[in-house]
Amino acid sequence: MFHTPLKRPGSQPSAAPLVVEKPPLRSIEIHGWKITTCKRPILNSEEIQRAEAELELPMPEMIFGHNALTVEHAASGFQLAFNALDALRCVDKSKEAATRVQVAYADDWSKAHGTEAEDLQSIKPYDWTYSTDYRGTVTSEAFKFAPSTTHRIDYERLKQREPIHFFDQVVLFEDELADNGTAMLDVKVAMMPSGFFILQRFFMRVDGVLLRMHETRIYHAFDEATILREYTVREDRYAVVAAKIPQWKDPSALTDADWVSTVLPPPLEGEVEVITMMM
Amino acid sequence: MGLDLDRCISTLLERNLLAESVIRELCAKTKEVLMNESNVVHVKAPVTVVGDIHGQFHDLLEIFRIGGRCPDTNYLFLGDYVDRGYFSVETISLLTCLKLRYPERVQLVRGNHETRAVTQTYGFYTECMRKYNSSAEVWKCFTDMFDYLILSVVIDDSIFCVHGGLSPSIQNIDQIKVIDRFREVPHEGPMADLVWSDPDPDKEDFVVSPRGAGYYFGSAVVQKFLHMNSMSHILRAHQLCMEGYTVLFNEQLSTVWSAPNYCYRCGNKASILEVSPSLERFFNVFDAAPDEDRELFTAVVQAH
Repeated sequence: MFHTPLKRPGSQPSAAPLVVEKPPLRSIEIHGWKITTCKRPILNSEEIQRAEAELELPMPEMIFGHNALTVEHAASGFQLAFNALDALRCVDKSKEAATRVQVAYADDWSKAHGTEAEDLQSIKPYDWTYSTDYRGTVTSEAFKFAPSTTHRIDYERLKQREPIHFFDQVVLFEDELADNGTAMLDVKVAMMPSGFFILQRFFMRVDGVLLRMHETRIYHAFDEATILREYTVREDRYAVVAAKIPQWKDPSALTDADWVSTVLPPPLEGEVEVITMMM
Repeated sequence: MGLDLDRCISTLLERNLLAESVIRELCAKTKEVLMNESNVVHVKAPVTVVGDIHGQFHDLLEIFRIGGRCPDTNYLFLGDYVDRGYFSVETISLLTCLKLRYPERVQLVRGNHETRAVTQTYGFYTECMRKYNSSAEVWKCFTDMFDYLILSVVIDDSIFCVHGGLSPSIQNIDQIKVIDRFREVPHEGPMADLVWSDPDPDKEDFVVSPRGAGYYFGSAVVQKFLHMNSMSHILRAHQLCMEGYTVLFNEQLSTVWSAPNYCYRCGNKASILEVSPSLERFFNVFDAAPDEDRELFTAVVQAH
């Protein structure tokens, strides 16, 4: 494990939050930890072309390629960023991935089109649901998240009432899957006096077929030496989730990631990773 | 004749809703007008073409400010009037009134969002329930009317206009005319393709979408279609772009997008396409109306 001193002698990071609003940037700094969000318009045609050529992947309908959430700790050099293009680099481009999920009426459709459709060249394969296992980009080489079986995020502590100095949500990409559902990646951050919490969420709904949620949680308490990262994958069949919609809600409940999150079953896979810093 | 259309229009322009009974009558009468229109309506230039609006009512008002008032300017709307934005009811109410008031000067093409299935998920249904006392009646009136919207327009025999794009089942315009369009948009077949398909600048032919349903169409398809029908240009909406418009395939196809700052967060520009009497095309580009953002807050507060 790589250890880095958290504090440099002589410089005492301030416990008073410093919030800077400088559109399109917003940032907060506390205890030497700086979190910045950047929210800009979607990519233009030229930028999309460049990104598609580089990633060999059609871009989602709404691609916020300039948006980002970054965490920096100047004293140690630690840097973590969440951005759309790095997330899309993790999308599976294998042939199998392209057909793993099909829209509800794909069966009828291919029956009706049969050989005609087979004769047509198909588009270069990729997972059109944009499912990504992206967990953020650690831009400082000195730090690497290592799997851990002993650590876990202390949710009890997170639940304690504390003022929130800073909250923000950044959308990284969104696609309506040609009105067959949604694929959306966003990241939220909350900075408290005792630490910060980040939730990045990939939410996918294919109408009539499947709901899926990949969540990455980052937690650091200022009085602890660890940065924890928890990654979970949850999914369920559309019909099962739809049956859980309470009577007072309408079908648009299925577009609400927060609600869906409350009714999905426990994770298929979950993983905790940790970076330990020397105090 | 109890329906005073001019009064309905001013009510909407003053940001008020029409009563449920008025909407019922409005939709019934508009259905009668639409029923007599062909699947392919022929219009003459000059005409101003509008792409997706998606319930951004204040941006629609901005369109009338920059493009000219109805009926001084002829308008062709390419569909996707509802869902996503917070003012779908106001938007479709106003467009329906204008269609009924000036049937020759306003054309409403069907988009993929003008269906029962899609509007139940993407906001229009929920908005109707919220604005009309938890009654689905208004949603039902409008979605029943959607079944009568036309599928395409041809400007001066030379510009083909549609919401989505071309279909492998359609080589000739006459094949559109024989579609039985008075129904919910099906998942497959020519009617679905017209409202769903997208161009792919890197392809020549039709390609199947990786989703397992639907098509992309390439340059050779566009060329062949234009040649077969002795036309010069295809004009469609359906795809968001940062610049508000896109021109592809050697200027043979344009996409026009008319919802600025889409979903109140994309930061994109929008445009309307003004087709002159000599068929020159001019994209009139505009940004989000200040009202749209300001009133969004009120809408969100009311929603919760």
